[in-house]
Amino acid sequence: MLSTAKRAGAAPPPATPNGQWSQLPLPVRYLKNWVRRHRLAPYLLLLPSAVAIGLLLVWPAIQLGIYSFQDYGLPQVTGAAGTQWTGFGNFSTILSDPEFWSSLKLSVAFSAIVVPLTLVVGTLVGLLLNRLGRRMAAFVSTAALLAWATPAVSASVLFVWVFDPDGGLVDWVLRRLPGWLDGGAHWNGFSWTNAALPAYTVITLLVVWQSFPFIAVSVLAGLKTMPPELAESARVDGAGPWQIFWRITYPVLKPIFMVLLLLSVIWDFGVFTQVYVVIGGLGNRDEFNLGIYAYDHAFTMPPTYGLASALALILTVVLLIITVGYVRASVRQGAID
Amino acid sequence: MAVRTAAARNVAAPAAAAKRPSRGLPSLKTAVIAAAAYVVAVIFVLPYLEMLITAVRPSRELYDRDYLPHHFAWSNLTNMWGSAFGILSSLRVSIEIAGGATVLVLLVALPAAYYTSRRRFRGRAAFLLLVLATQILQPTALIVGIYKEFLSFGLLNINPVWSLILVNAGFNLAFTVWILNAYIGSIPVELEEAAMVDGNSRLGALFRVTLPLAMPGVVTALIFTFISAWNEFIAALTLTTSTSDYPLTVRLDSFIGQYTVDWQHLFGASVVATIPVFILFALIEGRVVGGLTAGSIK
Repeated sequence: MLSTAKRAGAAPPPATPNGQWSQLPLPVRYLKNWVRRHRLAPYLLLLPSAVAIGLLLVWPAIQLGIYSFQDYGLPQVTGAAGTQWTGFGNFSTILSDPEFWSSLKLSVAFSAIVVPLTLVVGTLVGLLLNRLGRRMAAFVSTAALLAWATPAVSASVLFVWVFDPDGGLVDWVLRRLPGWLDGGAHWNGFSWTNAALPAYTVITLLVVWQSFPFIAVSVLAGLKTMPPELAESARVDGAGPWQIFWRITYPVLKPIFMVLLLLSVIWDFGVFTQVYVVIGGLGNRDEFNLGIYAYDHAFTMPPTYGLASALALILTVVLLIITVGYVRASVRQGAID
Repeated sequence: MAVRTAAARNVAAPAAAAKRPSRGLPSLKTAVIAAAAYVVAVIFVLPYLEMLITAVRPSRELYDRDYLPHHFAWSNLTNMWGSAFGILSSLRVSIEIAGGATVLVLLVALPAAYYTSRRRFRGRAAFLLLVLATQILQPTALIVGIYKEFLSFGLLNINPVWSLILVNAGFNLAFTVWILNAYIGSIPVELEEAAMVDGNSRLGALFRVTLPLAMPGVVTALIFTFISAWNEFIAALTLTTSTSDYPLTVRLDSFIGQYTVDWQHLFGASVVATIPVFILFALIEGRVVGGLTAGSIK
């Protein structure tokens, strides 16, 4: 086959040594010619990935959509009762469940705190890395990125241990702090995971610790592409670092910041692993976020797949709206061609 | 927003001081930047130190502690491999899942990425859009559908490891196709054509010219797939029922569920789960960010 699309399907192309072909068994040759004649090569090459994506992502998603309008629970799984279409029944059940609202509130509040925190800390560290010498910058960014690549479960169990009421480092340090820093014996055996607020404090630290390295290194990569003359000429004109950042760095790197914002929202809104490990599974219902709440509906006996699917659908639609809004905004700004 | 203002002032102060450089001593600005760099580095190193120290902490020093243990129980590192903890079997399962998913992703994604980057054909844009659109589907949301699908196909009863290979391949396929598509697209077609003029077949040109040139991209994408399958938790938690099928991530979590948590051995297992990621990641570290943002920014 030759390299231009127009000639791709032309049979038999001169560049192919035909001698090789005649040695193939007849059915194979016939098949090859048939593929060529109908220009099927692209579709044959795409077929495996299309099938894989279809079976592993699209089909489960479609099923979610179907279940969320059905009364699908344990009786339907065992075959004791048939499935029934219930319209928006699952959704109204969810919307009238106070646990849904409390878990939604936790998810929203968590994202509202963690996303800006991650972006600010990440950007500051990115700016810092840009000021460092090459070797120090490489050392710090490698250390930071390793935290990012660490399995979320490893990082989570580590934080659970560091905040452990009996042997954890944090309570040990807090007990020894002077009184004016709120140190003292009242930290003796203080449990960080028994109530939502301390538990999510731990989760916030954990998620920020694991996710700001990626922001920092992305911002650093963006800073490296900026011509240094830009900031230099602004400095000559008397601009301070604060002004240089908001008037020059931020506008130039805005596309990167937008992508990082979007990714952070998607990651933090749907966070599951860290929350699951820190709150210790599905025991404490008042510490559920949206992801855990949906998971609990599907996998705690008796399972209510219909409700869980409706929740998953809500989660996906929220993220879809955010993404579409972001893409439309960036198309309007001409950031994406 | 208050955080942003306060932090910015901290940056502004040393920068203003730097306008009066003192001779001999390093300027205040340099000192502050260096100090900040060390603080950041310590924030990342300290938790790992705690992980390593706890792994060799004697069990009687777990709760009645000083910062450093008085004795190091190196024997923790050898007896954690005992079958009671299941770390060895979990290591095997993790390697099988991550390795299997990586091979599967390579076999499936490479032809598609190659063809979409080299040719224009009907359905190309639709295919690439489909790949991109699936990125919005979060594992947390999909897991119910995936569980039901594997349950109804009976795959869970055969071997959850196979199911997890498939699921992880699915989670990482879109990203890999996208990255490889961009990477192969950056290699000039002319090189391939020159190889074909010299008598190579298209496949020969692909294997002798394009693939070797694309190797850094391919390796990055594959290591990325391996790490993400190795770290995956929610599907592994859902699709494995017997402890002998637990990969390391689920094994780590299962330690915490016990009545008395065996912290030393938990962190032994955690070190085992983390070291391969560190090694693989160190190989591709420089390329990660460029690769991750390649698809999203033009």
